Amino acid sequence: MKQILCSITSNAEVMPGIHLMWIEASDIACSAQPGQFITLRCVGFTLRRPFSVHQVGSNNVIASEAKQSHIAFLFKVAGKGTLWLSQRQTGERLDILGPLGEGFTIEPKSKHLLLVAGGIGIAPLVFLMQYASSQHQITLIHGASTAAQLYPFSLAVKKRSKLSPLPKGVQFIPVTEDGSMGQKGRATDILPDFLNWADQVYACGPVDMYKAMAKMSLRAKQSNLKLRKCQVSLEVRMGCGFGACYGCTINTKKGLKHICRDGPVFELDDIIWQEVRI
Amino acid sequence: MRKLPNFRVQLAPRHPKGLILSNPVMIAAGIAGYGIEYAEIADIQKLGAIVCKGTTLMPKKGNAQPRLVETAGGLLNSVGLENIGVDALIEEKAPVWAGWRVPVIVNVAGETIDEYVAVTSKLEGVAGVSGIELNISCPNVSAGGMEFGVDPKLAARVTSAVKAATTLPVIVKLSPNVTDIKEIALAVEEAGADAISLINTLKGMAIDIDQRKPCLGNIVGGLSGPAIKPVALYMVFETAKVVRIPVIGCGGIACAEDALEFIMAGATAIQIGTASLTSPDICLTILEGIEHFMLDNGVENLTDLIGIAQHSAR
Repeated sequence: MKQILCSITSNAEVMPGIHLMWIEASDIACSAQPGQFITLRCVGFTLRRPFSVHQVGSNNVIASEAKQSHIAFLFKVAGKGTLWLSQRQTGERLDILGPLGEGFTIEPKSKHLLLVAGGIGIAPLVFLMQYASSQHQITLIHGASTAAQLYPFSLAVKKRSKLSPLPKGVQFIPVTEDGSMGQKGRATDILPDFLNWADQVYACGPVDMYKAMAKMSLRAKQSNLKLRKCQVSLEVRMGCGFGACYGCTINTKKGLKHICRDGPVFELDDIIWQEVRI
Repeated sequence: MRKLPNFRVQLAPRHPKGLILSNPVMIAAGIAGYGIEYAEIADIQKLGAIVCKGTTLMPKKGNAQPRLVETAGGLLNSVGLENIGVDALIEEKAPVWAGWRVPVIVNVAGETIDEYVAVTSKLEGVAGVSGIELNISCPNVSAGGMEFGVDPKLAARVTSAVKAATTLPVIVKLSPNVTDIKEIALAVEEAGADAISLINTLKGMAIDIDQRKPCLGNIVGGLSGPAIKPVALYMVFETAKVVRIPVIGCGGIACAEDALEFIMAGATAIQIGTASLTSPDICLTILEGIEHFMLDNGVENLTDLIGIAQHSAR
């Protein structure tokens, strides 16, 4: 964990209202694990903004062999801080702190990984996919409101953009609420079809998606389906980002946890979902 | 070669042992946890002192989420004194502090005078604890906390009870949510406080207009950050005028210039809170900035600057 000034190497709107930013940050690129995050200072604002590490790469191009020197994060312009960030230009420097928190974990015996992304929740799961695809079979269910809000994996190949391509062998299942691409509905609608296949489930998305999954988990215990070993990434407003200020505490079945330090990744079953108001 | 400025300040001149800091820059309670988390990011051993989280007799869960909301130039928080309790602090944290060069001051909170006394008594003789900061100003708890800080008689009573229970220097942290902070300051000075720190946060709220409800889970919170600096500075200026014990200035300090304003207003030391959320190493930057100012202006002793703006104001 380090506080460093990092140069922006690219910043582009890759989906409507969603930006992909690459920065040069060797220390973070070398040490970050999928599910970890960084915070950055938006000038003029009191709180740093947290962003999941979306990709690591070298020299702007995703490379598995070369020394990792860059990281990317994917963000939605949702308020004044992210608006400021979206306007930053290549070459400008950002005050970055990271990598922070505890990321996703893969058990040694797991072969089949099911990734469930709701909207911008795709951000950390792309990193997990890059990290795990050579050793594991992965299915990615990506839900969004409409086709334009789905991560454009295909553009990554065509335009050699800095988006992540879909790693070989990954089964990609798009779901849209308006039916403009893939099945109409929500990611959680088709999730049950994959539960017996998956050894582990990883999810990132809105709290309502997690709540739906938590209900499924309860039901699964009664049936033969197994939504078990499911890890979710949580987000609340954070103060320090490393466990000192207690701004992001939540109550869990395992006691009080600080999302920034003990998480952001938690076991779905450890969260007391009826108490969650974030 | 220019002589390096002398930063040393005495925080407890009327205490038999005193409390000398190597420099006036402290981390305020609440922001830095137990200091241990910060040690991973910044060289906190260079600081004047660290004030740890408000500590109660039993562990405390704190308030519901959301606990933080950013406001114009500031931050509202309603953490609600979440802490591990004094026993865990003594067992887990103090042994780490005992090996540190930087003194750690424990912020003590309670719902009753008995609780303040009990927590303080437990800290007596604990290696690694250099002083007590009495928190009679937390706006985020339903019982105790601020109610002791808004009544001069209660403030005096809790101060003298705690003083009687410890041989450590006692700093009393005052609330700005009062009609006349000078009255409270004088009352705790009379009751034996070795120093006072001010200000704690100002009560405030924010409303989410999309959800049509208060932003904070606790509805009300404490406002901190640059937005409150002029209020804090004025209160320090006014209080330093009337008390003889050292005043520690706190409230919205975000740069060396801010810190120097508080020192010139009469603060012997300063505490950094919210600014370390914006930039975790800000305390060290502020310390360097004060040093540069002193070198550039030929100030050899920081004490020469303390309260200097009071003189011209007379």
